[in-house]
Amino acid sequence: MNIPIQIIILIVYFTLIIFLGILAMKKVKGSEDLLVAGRNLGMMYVSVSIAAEYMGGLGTIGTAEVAFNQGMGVIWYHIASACGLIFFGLGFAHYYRKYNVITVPEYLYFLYDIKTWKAASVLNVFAYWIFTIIQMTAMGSLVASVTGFDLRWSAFICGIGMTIYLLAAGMWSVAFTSVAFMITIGTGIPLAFWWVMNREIPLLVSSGGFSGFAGLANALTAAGLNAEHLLSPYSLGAMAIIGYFLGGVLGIPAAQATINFSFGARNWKVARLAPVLAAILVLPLSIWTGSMGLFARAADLTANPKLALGATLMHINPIIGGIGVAGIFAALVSTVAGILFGAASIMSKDVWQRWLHPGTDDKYLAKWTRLWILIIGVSSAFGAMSLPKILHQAYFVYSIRSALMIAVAFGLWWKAAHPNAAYWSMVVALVGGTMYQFNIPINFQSFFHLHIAVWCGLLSFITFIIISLFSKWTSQTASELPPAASK
Amino acid sequence: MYTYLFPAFLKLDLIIWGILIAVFVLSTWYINRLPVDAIVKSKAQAIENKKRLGIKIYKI
Repeated sequence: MNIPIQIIILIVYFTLIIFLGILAMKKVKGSEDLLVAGRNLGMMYVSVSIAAEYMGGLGTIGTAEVAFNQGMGVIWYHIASACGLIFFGLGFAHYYRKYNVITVPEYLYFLYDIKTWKAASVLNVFAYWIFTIIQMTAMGSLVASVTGFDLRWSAFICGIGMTIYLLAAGMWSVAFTSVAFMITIGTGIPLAFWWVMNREIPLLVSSGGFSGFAGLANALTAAGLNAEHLLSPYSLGAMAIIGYFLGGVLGIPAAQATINFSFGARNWKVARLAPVLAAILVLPLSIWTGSMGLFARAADLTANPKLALGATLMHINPIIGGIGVAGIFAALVSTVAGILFGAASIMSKDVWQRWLHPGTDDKYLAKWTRLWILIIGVSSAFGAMSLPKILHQAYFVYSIRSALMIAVAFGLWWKAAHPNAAYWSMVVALVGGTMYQFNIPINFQSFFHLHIAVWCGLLSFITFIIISLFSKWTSQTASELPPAASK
Repeated sequence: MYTYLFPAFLKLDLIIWGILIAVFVLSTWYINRLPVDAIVKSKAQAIENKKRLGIKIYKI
């Protein structure tokens, strides 16, 4: 049997990552160590970790998918993300860091009241659940393009595999390896891009023997496509760009998995500046992945956009392609583990222990967390078989999460920001966003023609302002304390 | 048939990259000028609201 070199690299790399995870476990002494690394992270670690989180499945496979379909307008995804990171760093990071919070819903409790915290937790679990499905799909599409298995079954098997892995190994073994896969992606993807541009494109007969973007444009034209349009930064249209910006700017300041690293910064100055440095690191990524997505189309490597990046990486020099595949796979494992663990711990710690059964002991809680990992993992694996459009559904998650950020921003900067407004703006964004995205009960999008991020942003913004203006402040509004925190 | 192409999206991305680097340099300069205890003086509006109205504040 002839096993491709890429798969061998993937297996070796993954073994190495698990080994690093086991070594990192020894550094963990308590929950603060686990969740925010003892709040002692330096500038490079924080910024690289934030960037690595962004370079996972969505930033790579998702952007290549969009570029394959619609061209290089996808660069706005990372431009918007960079703006969101700067906005978070300069506008919010020091507040979060000052009050030593661990989660965004916890900070909302600090700003408002317990019902806002509950609503934020439910919104977060829902968002994480959909996010798990998307990431499992991305993982499945990478595995499908490497092994040649059926995409649907690859997504399902990856989902079940991740659930078993997380139940067996726990979060700790994958939480500290972000620097390792950042290095792998940070070298593998640019090298693969360089290889495609200089070595692969001139080999295409339709490129006219030219390398670089000239050869790519020739090959796209020969394939009957409009190269000028596909290589234009405006190929997606204005509404998509506005949507990306709203998703990035409103989504990132409340995106737990991304900003978590900033909570672990050594001091508030590092917490503020690291996201700005991370913005510089993530910006070029869509140039690399998008160009490789377009190459897959020009060279007719696959008919399925989800497989575009994987197909390109399997097509080029096996060692360079293998490093790229391994890096993306490791990033996906870490992201899926993080979000699955995040959702399960909110369900067990916040929903079960703090609200429903305050007396629950830690041993029982651990069982409950595992049960939720199993429930969310298996249901998401089935969900991944529906093969959602990766970036399209990711923006749905960013959009409903924007309600969290709107609540934080108003809470910080507006005198009249009221707890009822925070609560209802989240409920409205969750319900309204879901109805809009999934056409329940009618197709709203054909009527409003708004990007989901614009829709959710407007809904929660308007709800917040109206309810704040019409609600009265009383001393009872924010006085209730959760059982575990009422010292 | 193109013989050389420097696409518009690349130009745009490089310009934005330059702006981001400038923002990073300037914000590093600005934030490092601030005294170490500047964070204590930065006040969140909601916390001020709660103090003013006598609402209990959740201490973490």
